[in-house]
Amino acid sequence: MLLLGALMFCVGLFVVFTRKNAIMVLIGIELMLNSANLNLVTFSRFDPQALQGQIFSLFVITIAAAEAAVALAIVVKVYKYFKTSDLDKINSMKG
Amino acid sequence: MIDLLDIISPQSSAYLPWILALLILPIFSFATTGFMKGKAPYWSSAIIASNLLVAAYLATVFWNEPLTIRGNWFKLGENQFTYSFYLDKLALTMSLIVNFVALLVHIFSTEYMRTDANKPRYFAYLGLFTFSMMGIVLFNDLLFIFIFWELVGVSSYLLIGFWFQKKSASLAANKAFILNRIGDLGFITGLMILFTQFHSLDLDAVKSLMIMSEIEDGNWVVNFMQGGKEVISSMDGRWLSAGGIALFCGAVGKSAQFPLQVWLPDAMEGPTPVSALIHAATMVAAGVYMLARIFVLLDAQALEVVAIVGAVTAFMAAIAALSQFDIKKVLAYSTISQLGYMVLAMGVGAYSAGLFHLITHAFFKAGLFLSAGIIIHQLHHLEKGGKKFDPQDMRVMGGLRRKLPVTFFAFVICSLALAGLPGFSGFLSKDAILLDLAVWADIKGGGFYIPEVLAFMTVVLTAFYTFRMIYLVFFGEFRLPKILGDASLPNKLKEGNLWVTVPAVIFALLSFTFPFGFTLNADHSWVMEALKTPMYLVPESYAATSLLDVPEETFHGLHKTVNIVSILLALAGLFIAWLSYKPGAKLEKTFIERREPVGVLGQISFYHWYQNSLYQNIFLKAILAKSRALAWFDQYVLDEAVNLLAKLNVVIAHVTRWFDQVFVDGLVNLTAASVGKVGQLTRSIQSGNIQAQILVTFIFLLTLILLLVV
Amino acid sequence: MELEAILFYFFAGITAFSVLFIAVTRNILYAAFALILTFIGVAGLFVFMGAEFIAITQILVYVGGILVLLVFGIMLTHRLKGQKLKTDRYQMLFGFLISAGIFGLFIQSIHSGAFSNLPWVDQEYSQEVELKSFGLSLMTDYVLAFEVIGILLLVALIGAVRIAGNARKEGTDAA
Repeated sequence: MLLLGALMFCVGLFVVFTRKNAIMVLIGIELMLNSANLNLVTFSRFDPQALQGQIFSLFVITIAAAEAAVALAIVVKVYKYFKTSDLDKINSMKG
Repeated sequence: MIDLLDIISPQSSAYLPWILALLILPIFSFATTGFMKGKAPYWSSAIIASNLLVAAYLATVFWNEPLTIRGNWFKLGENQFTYSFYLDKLALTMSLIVNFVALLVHIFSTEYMRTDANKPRYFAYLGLFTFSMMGIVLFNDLLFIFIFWELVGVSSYLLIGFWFQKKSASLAANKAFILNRIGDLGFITGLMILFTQFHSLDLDAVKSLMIMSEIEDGNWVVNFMQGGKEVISSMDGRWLSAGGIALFCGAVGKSAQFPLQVWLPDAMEGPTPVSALIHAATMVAAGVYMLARIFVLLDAQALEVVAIVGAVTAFMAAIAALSQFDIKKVLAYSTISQLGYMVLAMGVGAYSAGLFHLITHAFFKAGLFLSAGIIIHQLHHLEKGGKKFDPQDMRVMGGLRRKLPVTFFAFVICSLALAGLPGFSGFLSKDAILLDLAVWADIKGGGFYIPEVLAFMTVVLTAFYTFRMIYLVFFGEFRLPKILGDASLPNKLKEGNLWVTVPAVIFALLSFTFPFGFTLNADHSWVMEALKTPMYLVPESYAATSLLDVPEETFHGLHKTVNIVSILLALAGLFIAWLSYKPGAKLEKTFIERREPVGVLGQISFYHWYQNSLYQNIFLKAILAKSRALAWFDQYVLDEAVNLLAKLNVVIAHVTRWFDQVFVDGLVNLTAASVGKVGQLTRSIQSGNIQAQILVTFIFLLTLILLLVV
Repeated sequence: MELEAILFYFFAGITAFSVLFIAVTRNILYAAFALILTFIGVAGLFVFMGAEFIAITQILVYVGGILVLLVFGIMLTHRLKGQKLKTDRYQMLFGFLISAGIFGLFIQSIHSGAFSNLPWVDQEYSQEVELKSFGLSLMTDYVLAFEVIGILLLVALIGAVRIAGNARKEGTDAA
C-alpha cells in the first residue's frame, strides 16, 4: 500500500516535471495529493478511535478541490492572455 | 641688567587719538577724494588743512616734553614686536612742514590741475603720500618706518607716473621705484643686523641697548635680559659699521644720493606741484630725516661714508645743473645737490645744521618749484591753438620778469636763499653746515679736506646755476615769439592767478631769515636751539669724534672765515653768471641755437657725468646680456629638455596606452566577460520556467536527504 | 486466496497501471481519463482500508468535480478543433532521475522503517469505523478546521469565478 502511494507520488512528480501543458501539471499535482491521501488513510487503520488520518484526508480532498478550481481558472486566464497553456513559453519571469 | 621687555613695555596716552588723526585724515582723504569729481581739490585741501591744525595743536602741547606712546603689536617666539610713536621737536617740526607744504601744494594744484580729467586721482594720491609721510615722521619703530618708507615710495611712483600715457613718465616712475628698491635692500639689511643684535626694532630699545653694547676683542657684544632670560648678542665689530652703512643705503635711495641719484631728474616727469612736494620738500628729505633718527647709532666709519657720499653728490649734481635746458631739471639737480649738503652735514656730525638745512630747503625749493610751475603753467596756456613747444625748456623763455612780476619776485627770493646769500634762510643753514664741516675736516685732517673743498666749490656752482637760470628765464628777450614766429604771443602771456601765486609768495617769504630768527648767525636761530645734536651712542672705540666735544673757541675762530669765504664764493658765482648770461652776453646769445653744450666739461655736465649711460652700458647691458643668455638657455636647454620630456611622455603614453588596451582593458574585459559568463550561467537557471525550478528544488532536496541519510 | 485480497490487488493494479499510463501518455485527454481510473482505484482501496466515507467523497469530489473541471479546462484551452490534445515533454532525463531517486528513497525508507515491526501496528483493528463517530469527531474535535476549510472553499470558489469569469472585461484588459 505504501509502495503504491510512493509510486503515485513519484509518477505525479515526474508528470509535473516533464509535461509542458499546464493541465497535465495539474493532473500530476492531483496525483501527488492523492498519494498523500492514500498514505494517510493507510496509517489511519491503526487508529480507529481518533480517525485523524481520515479526517485529514478529507481536508486534503477539499483543498485539492479548491486548488483545482482556482488553478483551472488561472490556466484559462493565462491561456487567454498568452494564447498558450505551455508552461515553457510562459517565461516572463525569466532572468 | 635692563630687561628688553621693560624698555618696550606699553605706554599709553590720552593723546593717541590726536596722533592717529594725523594718519587717518590723509588716508581718509585718499579713500574719499577719488569719488569727489570736481570738488576733489577743495575736499582734500580742507582735510589737509585740518591735519595741519592737528599737527599744530600737538606741536603746542608737546613742544617741550616729548611724548612716547607704545603698544604691543604681535609676538614672534620670544620677540615682542611693538608699535610706538615718538613726538619730539624733530617729529613735530617735520609733521608741521609736511602738512604745511602739502596744504600749499594742494592749493596750488587746484589751479594747476584744473583742466586735468584725472584730477580726483591726483588729489587722492597726494592724500596717500601725506599719509605715508606722516607715518615715517610719527613712528618710532624702524619696522614701521620701513613700512611707511615703502608706502612713500609707492605714492611717489604713482605721482611720477601720473601722466602714465606718456612713455617717458611711466619709465621715469619705474626708474624711481627700482632705484629706491636698491636702496631699500640696504635698509632692510640694516634692520636685520640691528634685529639680530638687539631683538627689537623699537628705536628706544635699540638706543638703550646700543649704550650698553661694548667692543670686546673686536666683537660687538651686548648683554641684556629678555623676559627674564639673559641674552648675550655678539657679532664681529665690523657689523656695527656695516649696519649703519646699510641703513644709510635706504637714505641714499630715497634722498637721491650718489650713486642712486639718477632717478630724481627723471622724476620731473610728474606734475610740477608734485615735484615741489615730493621731490623737493618732503619725500627726498625723508632719507635725511631717517638719518637723523638713526644718527646716534652710526659709528665713525659709517659717518665717513655718509659724509663722502654727501659731498660727492652735492658737487656732481651742482656740475650737472650748470648746463641743463629744462628748468625743472636744473631744479632737480639743485635738489640733489642740496640733499648732498644735508647728508654731508649728517656725516660730519652736524645734526642740527643738516636738519636746519632740511627745513629751509623745504621752503625755498618748494617755492622755486611752484614758481617754475607757474611759468610752465602760463606758457602751457600759450600752446592752446598754437604750435607745440616744450614749456619747460628755458630756451623758449626769457624776459618773463615783466610778464610775471609776482612769480619773478618769489623765484628770486627763493633763488637767493638757494645761493646762500646773507639775509635769506639758505645762508643760515648752509653756513652752519660749512662751519661744522670745516671743524670736522680740521679734526680729521688729510684726505678729509676733500669734502670741504667740494662743498665750497658747490657754493660757487650753486650761485652760478641759480643766476644763470634767473637770467635765462626772466631777463633779456622773450625768445618764444622768435622761435614760433608769432609776435602776438607776449601779449597773451599773463600772470598766474591767486591760487598759484599765493603759495609761491608764502614760500618766498619763508625763505627770508626772519622766520628762523633775526640773526645772521645760525647758532642763534631757534631751529638750531630746538634740534640739538645728540651724543653718539655707539661703543666708544667705534664712535666718531662728536662736534659737541669740540671747544666753542674753535667754532668762533673759524666762523668769520667760513662766513666771509662762503659769501664771497656765492657772489663770485653770481658774478660769473652775470658775465656769461646777462642779456647780450656771448653765451646768452648763442644759447637759443644750442642743441647741446659745447666742450668736454659741458658735455659731462649736461649728461650728468654720463652716469645714466654708464648704468645703461654696464648694468642694463649686463642684465640684458644675462637675460639673453637666460633666454638662450631657456630656449635651447630648458625648452629642449621640456620638449624631450614631452616626447618621452608621448612615448610612454603610447606604451601605457598599449598596455592599457591589452592588459588593463583585457583584464577588465576578462572580468566583465567572466562575470557575464557566470551571469549567463546563473541566468540559465533563472529560466522563468517553474517546472525547472521545482526540478532543481527537488534535486537539492534529494541530494540533501542522501547526504544526511547515507 | 480470498476475494477481498483479489479485489484489493485488482484495485491496486488499476491504480498503478493508470498512474503509469499518465506518466507515459502524451495525450492530455487520455491522461485525464486515466486519472479517473486512478481515483476510482484509490477509492476502492480506501474502502478496503475501512474508510468508506473518504472513498465516497473521493469519487464525488474528484471524479464528479475536479475531473469535470479538468476536462472543461482542456476543452477551453484547446478548443478541440484541429488541435492536438498532445503535450510536449522535456526534462525527461532529469525528471526521471529525480523521480526515480525519490522513489528509491521512499522504498528504502519504507523498508528500513519496517512498519510491520512497530508495536502498535500489530494490534490491527478489524472492526468497522462508525460513520457516526467520524461525524461526531468532525463536528467536535476538528470543528475549527472544518469551518476554516469551508471558508477556504468559499473563498476559492469566489476567487475562481472572479479570475476566470467576466471574460469580456478582462479580455479588453489583456489586449
